[in-house]
Amino acid sequence: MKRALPSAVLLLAVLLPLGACASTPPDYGAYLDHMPHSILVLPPIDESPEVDADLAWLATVTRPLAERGYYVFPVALVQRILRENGLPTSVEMHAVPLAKLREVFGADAVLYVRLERWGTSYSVLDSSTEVLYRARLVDAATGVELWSGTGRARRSSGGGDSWLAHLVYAFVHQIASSVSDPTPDVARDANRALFDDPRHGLLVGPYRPDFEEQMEKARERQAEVEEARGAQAGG
Amino acid sequence: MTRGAAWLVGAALLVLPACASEMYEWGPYEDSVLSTMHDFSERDLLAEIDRLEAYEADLREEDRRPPPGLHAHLGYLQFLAGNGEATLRHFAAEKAFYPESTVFIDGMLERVK
Repeated sequence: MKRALPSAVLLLAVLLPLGACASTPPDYGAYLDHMPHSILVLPPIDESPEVDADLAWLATVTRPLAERGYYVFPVALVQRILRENGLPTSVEMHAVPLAKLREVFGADAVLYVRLERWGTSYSVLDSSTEVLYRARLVDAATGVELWSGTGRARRSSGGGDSWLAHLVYAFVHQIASSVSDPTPDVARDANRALFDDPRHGLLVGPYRPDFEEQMEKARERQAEVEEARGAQAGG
Repeated sequence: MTRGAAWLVGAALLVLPACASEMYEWGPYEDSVLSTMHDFSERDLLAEIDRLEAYEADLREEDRRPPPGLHAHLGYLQFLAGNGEATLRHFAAEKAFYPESTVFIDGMLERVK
C-alpha cells in the first residue's frame, strides 16, 4: 500500500490536466467560414502598470502566430506607421474602423489584445512573474469574431530550506532580474499555451504543411458540435 | 497499478516533444522587432541592419523560407538608413514570399517613393 501511494499521486497528476480540458467544445463555425491567411496584430492596450509592456509583448507574438501557420504583418513596422499617421496610442489604434485597416494592410483578420498583467512582483522570500492578457481575433471583412481566449502564464522562483537561503536567493535574484527581465519568456509561455492549445487554440493556418489535414479534422469536430447543439435544441 | 501509472506518465511525455519543432529559423528577428519599436540612433540602426542582412544571407544560402515580415522589416530599416535600392529589393522579396502582404507593401512603396 505504501508503495502504491506515489503512483496514485502520479496518476492523479496526469489525469488532472486532462480533466481541466474536458469542458464544452468551442464553436469554430465562424472561424472555419472565414479562415484567415494573414493576421494583423495591433499593439495591445496596456492595462498593466509596467512601462512599455505593450511593446515587449508585441515583440513575442509574431513567432507563435507564424509557427501556427499564418502570415503575420511586421509588427514593428505596423506600430510605427500607425503612430506616424496620427494614432499615438494603442487605444486609438484599436478604434480604427476595420475597413480602413483592410484598405491599408489588406489583412484577413485582426488580433486585438488587452494586456492586464505584466511583470515581476517581489517579496523577501521569492518572486513571481506573471503575464495575463485577453485576445480577440476578428474577421477584417465582416467584423465577425472568429476566436477569443485568455493568455496566462506565471513563473515563481524561490527555494532553499532556511530563511537565510531564502533571503540570499531573493537578493541575488533581484539583482539578476534587473539585468535580464524574465517577463518576455513568461509571455512566450502564455502565447504558446493559448495559441497552440489543441482544443481551444487557433486553428492551424495555411502555411503549415499539415493545414489541409488539420482543417479536415476541425470541420469534423465542428460538425459534431453543431449536431450536439441541434440535438439539444430539438430535445 | 504502479506499472499502469508509469505507462500513463510515459505516454504523456511522448506527446510533448511533438510540439517542439519550428518551421522557421528566427535568428535575431524578434530582438530587432523590439528595438525598432523604440527609437534608436543611426549607429544602432546600421549595426541592426548588418546583423539582419547577415542572418538573411544565411537563410538564402540554406534555402530556408524567411519568417513572415522579415523582408518588410529589413526593407523598412534600409529605408530609414537611406538605402533605396535595398529597400525595394526587400519589399519585393516580402511580396514574392508572402502574397498576403501585397496591399501593404504596395502602400509602403508609395510612401518611400
